Amino acid sequence: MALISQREARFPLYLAAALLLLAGLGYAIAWLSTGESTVYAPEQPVPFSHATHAGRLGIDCLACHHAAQKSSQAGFPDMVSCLACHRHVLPGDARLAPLHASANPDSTVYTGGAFAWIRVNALPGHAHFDHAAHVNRGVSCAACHGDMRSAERTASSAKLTMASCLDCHRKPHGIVPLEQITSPAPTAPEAEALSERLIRRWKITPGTDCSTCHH
Amino acid sequence: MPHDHRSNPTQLSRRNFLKGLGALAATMLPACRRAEEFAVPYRESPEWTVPGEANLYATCLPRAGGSLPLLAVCHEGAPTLLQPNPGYMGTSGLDARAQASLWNLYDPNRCRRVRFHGRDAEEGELKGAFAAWAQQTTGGGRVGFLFGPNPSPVRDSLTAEIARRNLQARFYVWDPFAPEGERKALNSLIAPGARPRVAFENARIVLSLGRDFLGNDPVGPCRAFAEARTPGHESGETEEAFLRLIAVEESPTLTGGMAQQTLPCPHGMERFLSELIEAFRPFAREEHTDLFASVTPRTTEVSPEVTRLARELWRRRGETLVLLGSNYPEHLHAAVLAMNVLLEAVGGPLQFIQGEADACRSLGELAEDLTAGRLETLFLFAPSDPAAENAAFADALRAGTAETIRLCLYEDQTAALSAWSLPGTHFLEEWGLDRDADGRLCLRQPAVLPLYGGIAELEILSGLLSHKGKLLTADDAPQGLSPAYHRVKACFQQLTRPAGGSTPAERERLWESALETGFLPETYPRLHRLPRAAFPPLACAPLPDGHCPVSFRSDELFQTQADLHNAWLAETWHPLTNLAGTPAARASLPNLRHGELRLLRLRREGLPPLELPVLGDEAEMARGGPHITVPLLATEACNTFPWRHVASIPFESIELAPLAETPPQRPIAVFGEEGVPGISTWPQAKPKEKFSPPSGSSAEQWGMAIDLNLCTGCNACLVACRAENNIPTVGRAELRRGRDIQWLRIDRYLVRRGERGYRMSIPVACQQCEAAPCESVCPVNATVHTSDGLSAIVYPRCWGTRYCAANCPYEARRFNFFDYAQASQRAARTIPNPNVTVRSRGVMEKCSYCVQRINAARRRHKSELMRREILPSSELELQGDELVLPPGSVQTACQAACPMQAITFGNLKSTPGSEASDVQKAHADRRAFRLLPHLGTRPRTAYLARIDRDPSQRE
Repeated sequence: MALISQREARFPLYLAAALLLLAGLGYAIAWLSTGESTVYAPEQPVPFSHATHAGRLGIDCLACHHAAQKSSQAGFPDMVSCLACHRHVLPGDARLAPLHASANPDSTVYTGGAFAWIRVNALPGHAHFDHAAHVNRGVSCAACHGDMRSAERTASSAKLTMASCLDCHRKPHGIVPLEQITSPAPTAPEAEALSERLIRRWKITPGTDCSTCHH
Repeated sequence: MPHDHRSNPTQLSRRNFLKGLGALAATMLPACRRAEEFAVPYRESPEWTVPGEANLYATCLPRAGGSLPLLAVCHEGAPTLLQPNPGYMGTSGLDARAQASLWNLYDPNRCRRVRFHGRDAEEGELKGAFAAWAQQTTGGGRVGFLFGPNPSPVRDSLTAEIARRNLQARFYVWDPFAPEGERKALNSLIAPGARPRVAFENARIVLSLGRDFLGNDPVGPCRAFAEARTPGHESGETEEAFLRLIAVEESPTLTGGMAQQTLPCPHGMERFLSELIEAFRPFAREEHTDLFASVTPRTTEVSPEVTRLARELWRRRGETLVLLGSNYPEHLHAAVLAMNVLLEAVGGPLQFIQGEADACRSLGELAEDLTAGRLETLFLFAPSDPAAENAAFADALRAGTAETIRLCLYEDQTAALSAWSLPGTHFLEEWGLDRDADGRLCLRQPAVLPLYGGIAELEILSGLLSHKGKLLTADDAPQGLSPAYHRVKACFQQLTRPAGGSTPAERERLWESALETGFLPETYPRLHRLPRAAFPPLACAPLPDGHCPVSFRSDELFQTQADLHNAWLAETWHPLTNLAGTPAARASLPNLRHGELRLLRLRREGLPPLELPVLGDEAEMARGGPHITVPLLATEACNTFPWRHVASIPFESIELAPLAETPPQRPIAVFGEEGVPGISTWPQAKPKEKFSPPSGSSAEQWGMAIDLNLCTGCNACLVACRAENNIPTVGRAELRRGRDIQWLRIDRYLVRRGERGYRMSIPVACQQCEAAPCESVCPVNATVHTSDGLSAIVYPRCWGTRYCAANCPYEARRFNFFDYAQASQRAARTIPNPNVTVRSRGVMEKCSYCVQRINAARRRHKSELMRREILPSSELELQGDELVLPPGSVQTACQAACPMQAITFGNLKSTPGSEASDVQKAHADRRAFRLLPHLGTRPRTAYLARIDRDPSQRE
């Protein structure tokens, strides 16, 4: 009868230790990548600044992300809308070359190729967020995206986590009148009282069923 | 023997283990970087596009006998689903074949290149040839055109123009399943171009003589039939008040499976008809002498069953109707017309409309013209495969000297026999103007530009007529507006001239509104004249001794090459055989058990041998003896078209061999009447089951009801569910292992009553049980109950223990064994519905009651409530039940697609003071029952029992 050697007997131990180590590593990475400590703000092909457009120029969020009230997606403006201004504003700026290359046939750099932003806020395929469902019920843009008026480079929002979604779905807060959807998040002390009143009047009872977002 | 670890290379030392671990960690670390995703905006946003919202385009599917309007649901420019056009009254729902045709749009195996004599044509080669064809077409050359059978005014206008400029041009039409007998009878007895339409609302007894009017052989909207057949939810009505279907069939059809009463015709339809005519003779009055003038009284006995039938039909004349399968010969149609005159059906249940008479020549004439060398150039546009379907034509094509040009979606035999083969467009890629069965003008607008460089039929015709003889397709036309668009628009405005308004602006408005609705309401005029009918003398040649009758019929799922290539249809369980992806004959033969699969071999002098799988099927006994039904098909393995006129074969020449490969098969169980739960008989005194009100906290409690009295088992719901919920195809091998991943399955039964019986189809998806056995056994809480009564699955939580599936008494859960979604998307390049998660490997999935549609409807409803007033929004106050979705605001995919409208869906919780919704009424119906009620699972899906005849009324 073959005896089990000491080394063989230790093998499961190694395996368990290794798995624990890997699990710990994975957990740490997951925590780091979803926690508030990391911000994803890749360099975009065109250094678009929300601070300039929404902040200094005061362009409304809905002017560009016009589908937010009508659709599950907020949408990106098409290149022709960008050019509508930028034909006249900073027409020769080198930073806008990719824009002209994609959509301005009069330009010398025109290629007609597709233009691609690097996506900053992305949900996994099994989670479905509906912009219109929130925007039309008084959840402001700033509630999830933070204050974009001061963002020089577009960064991922720290609030796009399930914890943050559930936080509000379990106990709704920060509801603003529809007219102030695109305004900065209110800081006045009476804002919370107004939010409470709106939640009662509008009967805001967000779903916490799994199928509310996962379908 | 001592064991030396160091010398054994397969043993793992600690050092090696740590090395390996290090290497593993090193390879895994880069994977922790965030993958870069891109957001690509439109260069210029297409009109009406709202990102994330579907665009619906009204278009129509070309069909023989009349095109079919439908809506193409497009997400970001890509069609993901075909659904019925809700405003269209001609049909309801959308059949499985029409919905599945979407798959062919994306199929990478479609024709993609211009080919000349079997090789890829070179750049410019087609251009040169096309200029020559155009020269011939307009310059008096002997050109011919073979068209498909869909009625198309814009094509007619182009052919008229060709005919005006070239007297030599000839036009032919080919429909492999043309209802020739019926058409000839109507042409000669009523008026050329007359067509039957049935008003089921005026009928109480329909005698169907082999007419599959709920399937391949429609005569009017099924919806009217469904309504006339369904009793209301209250008790008190009698059987006589509702439509009863009596079927006499040589070859069983879906329609026959719905009949409350069946009669055999062991000696064939002609003999049955002559018996029936004889049985009517005693009732004939003076005004009927003309009808009976040319039939001599029969000497043979009329069977008592037929006598009883005749008496009943006569008693209820004026509300009875006789329908005959359109493939029967002309003289039988004449007899049935006369019978309808006798039964005073014409003008009541049976109406006629004045369609357009055929102006084109037949395929037989084309074969003659080819052989005689009367054609120099021949364009073959027919979407079926005429060379495979007609042997004489194939021979003429081989022998003929004409230059032939084939336009096709898939390389078929006709293309192989033609000099040129050009890639055709899918109907979602082209413009068109058709007529539906009732004569309404239907617009076909493209949902996408041609994906594989397809050329449309209208583009070729228009190119031939163009000034320079240049072919212009959507791909190279300015703004992607193909010349077909201009032709269609011009033809539309020509046809609507008097009604379309006088100013160009009014005409433009009519055009735009027609593009939006997809069709115009004006139909063909009614014909108010009685057919000049009389019973013709019928020859009743008996079946030769020792012969087995055979029928060749069009198949329910596979009719064209496109159907045979279609992966969605290949994974749809055939409504009559319950096989997947396998066209098969059905037979009742003494040496073939029910459900047994063998290979059928038939030989006959002068015909190619016929070899295809055959299924033993008790339903084939409907004729009253042995019988074989063979689908009319041309596949690579077997072409049954040359056999189509064979009516019987000697028993000894029927050979049954074992099959080389067992196809995926599901059983069709045979029951006596006691075995099946879903049957109730007239008069129904007490309710089958009393349901408790729905538990659950939310104000919306979803429920469904499926009326088994209406379900034909046609598979429309299955295909709709697949397209809506991104259900992948799994492949034949996986299907055979029972790994079909369809959320919805249709259980099929034969219910035997005496020697004959009927079909029962029970669609079973997740029943959304209130006390769901699957939920309690999930170790990771991946399947949970929601407050609105759905049993939801959280895919990311599921780790695939499959306990839930094991504990589901309805077997409604499907496990994703492999990465089917990626595999099938890679193979077929279909575009998924973005609102539904594409499931990965290793998760359980099942019907969700289309929860994505519920969520979308909720968002729409609440957004409307919030935006309806213009006061400061902080003053808005929503009242009580306003937030509850109103009835009818959510339709599941299966419900919308059902041609019989057998499925109702909605909120089971009633709001005080409001009228009960359809689904609430259905749940309270006396026919309502639930599957396996004794288990106490309290399903949310109820079934309404099939109604059988009152036993005392039966013969």
